[in-house]
Amino acid sequence: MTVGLEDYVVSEFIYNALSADGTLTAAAPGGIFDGVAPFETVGPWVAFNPWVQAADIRATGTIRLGSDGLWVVRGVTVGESYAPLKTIAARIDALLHEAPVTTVSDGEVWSSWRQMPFSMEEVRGGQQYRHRGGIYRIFAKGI
Amino acid sequence: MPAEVKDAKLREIIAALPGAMRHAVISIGEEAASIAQQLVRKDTGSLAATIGIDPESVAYDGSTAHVVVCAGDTSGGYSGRGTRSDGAVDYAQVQEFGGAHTPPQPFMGPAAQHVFQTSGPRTAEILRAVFR
Repeated sequence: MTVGLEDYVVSEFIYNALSADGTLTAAAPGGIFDGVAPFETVGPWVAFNPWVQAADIRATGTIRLGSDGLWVVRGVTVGESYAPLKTIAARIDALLHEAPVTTVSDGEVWSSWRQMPFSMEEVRGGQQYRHRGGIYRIFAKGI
Repeated sequence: MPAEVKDAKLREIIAALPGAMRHAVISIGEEAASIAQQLVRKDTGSLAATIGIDPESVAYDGSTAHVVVCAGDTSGGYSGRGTRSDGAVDYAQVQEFGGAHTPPQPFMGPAAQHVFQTSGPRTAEILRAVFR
């Protein structure tokens, strides 16, 4: 998966939005990760990553308006219950769904909304993990 | 009478439409499955071997046609060992979306995105062939 400037824009947008929320950071003491959390991470955490590579939206000719991509944003917890993720998933949605136009270092996010909810069970090395959040369609424009 | 001829042709088209739409959606689903099989990471090839359309999902209700493309098999739950002793494969989701400590390697999403972009012209092409 290639990474364009718009991916940096979206990463910064998501990270800034989530990390500024005290309720979310309290519910996810493990942290907020752009990508995979380190193995030593403890406690529920939030991870996000692009899912389907963003497609460029063009105007006339080669004029590029921005890119439109799908991002998975979820809380992750160790254990056999989704309960620790309830607040996390709710705050993720409150912060990202229909977020206002936002300017970050390398550009702007013009729209963000949840395309579908996301839940996943994972068993790895005898350990159970639960993932819950949403898949968000995010339209971004790099400078 | 000309009006009767048109009416007959219209009835013919209406009668043929459900079959044509099913044919179109199966074709699109099989294309998505083929792309996903090419994209998926292959260590043993077990996951790739599970990718395909669910024949029972093919449907056309008069306005919408759909097909489900499947990958993996979680019918027996999760073992955490990848391929289970019964041969089922339970790690498709983790490979697609990324796990707690593993990066995503999407194969279904990109395949779906491709066929979404091409399904309109492809459906039109199939329908033209049916109604020619």
